Amino acid sequence: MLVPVEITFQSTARRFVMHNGNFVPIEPSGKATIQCQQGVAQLLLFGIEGAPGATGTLTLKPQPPHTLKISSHPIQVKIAQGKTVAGGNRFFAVV
Amino acid sequence: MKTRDVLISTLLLPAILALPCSAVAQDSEQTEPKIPFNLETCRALFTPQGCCATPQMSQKVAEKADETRQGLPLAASEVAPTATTAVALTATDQDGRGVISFASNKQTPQGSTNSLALKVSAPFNQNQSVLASLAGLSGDIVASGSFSRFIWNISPQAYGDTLCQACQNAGITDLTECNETDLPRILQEKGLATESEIARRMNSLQDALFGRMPGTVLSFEASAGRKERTFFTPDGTKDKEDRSGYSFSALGGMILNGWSAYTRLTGKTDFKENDKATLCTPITDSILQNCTAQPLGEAKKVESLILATEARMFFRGFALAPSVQYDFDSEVWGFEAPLFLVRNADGGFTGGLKLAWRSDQEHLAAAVFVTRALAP
Repeated sequence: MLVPVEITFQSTARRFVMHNGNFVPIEPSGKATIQCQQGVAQLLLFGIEGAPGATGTLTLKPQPPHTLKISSHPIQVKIAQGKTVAGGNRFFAVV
Repeated sequence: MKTRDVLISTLLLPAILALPCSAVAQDSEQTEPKIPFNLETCRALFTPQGCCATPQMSQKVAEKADETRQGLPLAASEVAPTATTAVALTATDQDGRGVISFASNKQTPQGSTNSLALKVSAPFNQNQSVLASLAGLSGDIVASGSFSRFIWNISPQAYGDTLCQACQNAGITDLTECNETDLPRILQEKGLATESEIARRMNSLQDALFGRMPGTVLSFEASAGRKERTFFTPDGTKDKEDRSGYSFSALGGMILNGWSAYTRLTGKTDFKENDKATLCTPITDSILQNCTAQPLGEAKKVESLILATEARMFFRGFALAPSVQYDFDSEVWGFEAPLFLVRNADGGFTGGLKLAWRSDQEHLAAAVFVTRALAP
């Protein structure tokens, strides 16, 4: 069963999100929607590009009544001093 | 590796069903069972659909992808077309000029962002909120267009291989904890690495994801402007002309990890008005004269072709953005070296000291400057 999961990626920096190896188009507001197979491990890969100190906050919200199995959420990302990019990943499942 | 290793439903669902409904509905991060860590599963999820770790898995995942495609709306990431994420057509009043602009911003499933902007501006007729008609245009009209593309150049699989191996080495048993937030904590808790070693490993992960050049930028701009000019001919009669000036520019840029570099070529044809001359005519029954000043002769055509290159480098306490320019028509070199030392509340570099030099001027100029936050 496919469950829509709304992504909100708030950042003033340029950003990207990949879901299971594919880029996800993000609206300028930071919102995007992905479809996840219920009970199946999913991968989100994300990153930002900007000046050092720029941050991003990524939140996943599955369609109710579904919930997420995820660690360290909402996801925070920050560009380190002397760098211009930062990224990371989360494995999760919709239950 | 079998599909059931990837599909964790057999592991998750019985546990979920055993939970009371209220527990499932609560904050999922606290109560959910684990997703067992498996190196192959971990790596396979970094692989784009259609190619997998083993032939059997490839087939299964391809089948799953087909099923997925049939059941998904267009917004789903797996089948998302080139999505127009923002289009805006606006008409505004800026400084007494009417501006009609169109902007489009698209992100594609290939990881690039395309931006298109078109803009036309013209003066309002005096005291009227309508654009001056072409027949009665009393001032200037400017049209401009720009297109830019940013392309991400990342290596998810190299990142996945490095991360998954690091998680395996750290003895992580829950796949959800295999990330750059939890991994350092686990390494520290287990005493598997020192703080500096953890920082080094996290840096290696970032390098694996972004490589040497995480992104590239391409941009094109063009504009044309018509301006009505009045002038005196040598015999003192007043004349007018409305030749159009135009410009174009092409820009290429590389975003590197810690700095960026850009090169821009700008061509421009413009018109420069001559020095003014004054024509005085006697006023009937008066010793006074009525004088009018206008440029003497038609405006001169000025052409320029400028090649500029700029680097933006970020360090721990300062940033540098040196640039070099060369004007092929006037054969003038220019050099600027802003040193950013001051930051705004958000941490962006906004001010500092600047050195500037031009080959047609003998001295080196120094100045304190404030500008908007420096971006890579």
